[in-house]
Amino acid sequence: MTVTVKETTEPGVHSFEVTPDWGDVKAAWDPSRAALVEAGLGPDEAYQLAMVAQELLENAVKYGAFELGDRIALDLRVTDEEVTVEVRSRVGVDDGNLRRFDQMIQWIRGYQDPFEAYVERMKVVSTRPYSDGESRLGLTRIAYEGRSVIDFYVNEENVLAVSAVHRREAEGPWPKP
Amino acid sequence: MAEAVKRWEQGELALELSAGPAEVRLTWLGKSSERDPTRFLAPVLSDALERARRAGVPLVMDFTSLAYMNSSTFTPIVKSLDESRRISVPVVLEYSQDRKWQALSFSALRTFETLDGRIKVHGK
Repeated sequence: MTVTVKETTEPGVHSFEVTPDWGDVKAAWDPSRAALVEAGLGPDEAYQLAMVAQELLENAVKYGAFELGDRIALDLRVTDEEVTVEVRSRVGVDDGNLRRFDQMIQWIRGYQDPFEAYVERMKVVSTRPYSDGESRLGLTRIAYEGRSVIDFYVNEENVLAVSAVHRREAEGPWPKP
Repeated sequence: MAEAVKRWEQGELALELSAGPAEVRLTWLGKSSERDPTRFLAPVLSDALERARRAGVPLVMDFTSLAYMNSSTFTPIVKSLDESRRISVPVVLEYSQDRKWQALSFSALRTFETLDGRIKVHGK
């Protein structure tokens, strides 16, 4: 298993490279959470954003189109105002998964409150047979539990960069359920 | 007094089933982070529901000691609630209010609570 810490001189930035393997994604939990705590986040905030990183890494492994030697890049950028979790991975040309990903992002944006999107997605999952495959709950979970705004772009080398931006001060503490 | 009945393990996740006079209890321990947790969890949850049905008691799923679960884990949980309705077994989901992630995750699962108390989501 390989999770590599990348050296960076940018303050507040922790970078990792992960092989596109499920075991390595799981192994990224401890170093990413530790990096967020080291950057000054409280235990709950660090946990939630480590969850965001996990969900994005899982998506990258599930939907990526990797070539031999490819790695998934994970950046954690922490400032006083916000935390950005960014995951970059190769995707296929004219990838159907990418279109569905885009549709999912737009669908989430259609909700003023991400909690509503999360609940709606769970209802969808409950009505579908197991055989329908992926739940795509992860993105709504990132939006609600991670209190993050998701965005993405694809560069000319077909690398998909997905960012989840969590505003630290503006949104205040997580709500009491 | 609840009696330990069975234990299942996969990766970092363990589920322990115990049976008492008033409930069948399924305790989740460790982390659920497999790529396809449904494959492992669906038969376990069906087994637990069937035992509760035969005993005529509720199934309590105790998540309070669970350290983490990925979003794919919600699918078998939500589907088991659907199955519980079908076979008329009351289900209680117990979570820890002290674990922030559980409070958030299970607040969304409250959408499946029923007015007649057949499905309850309970913070401890």
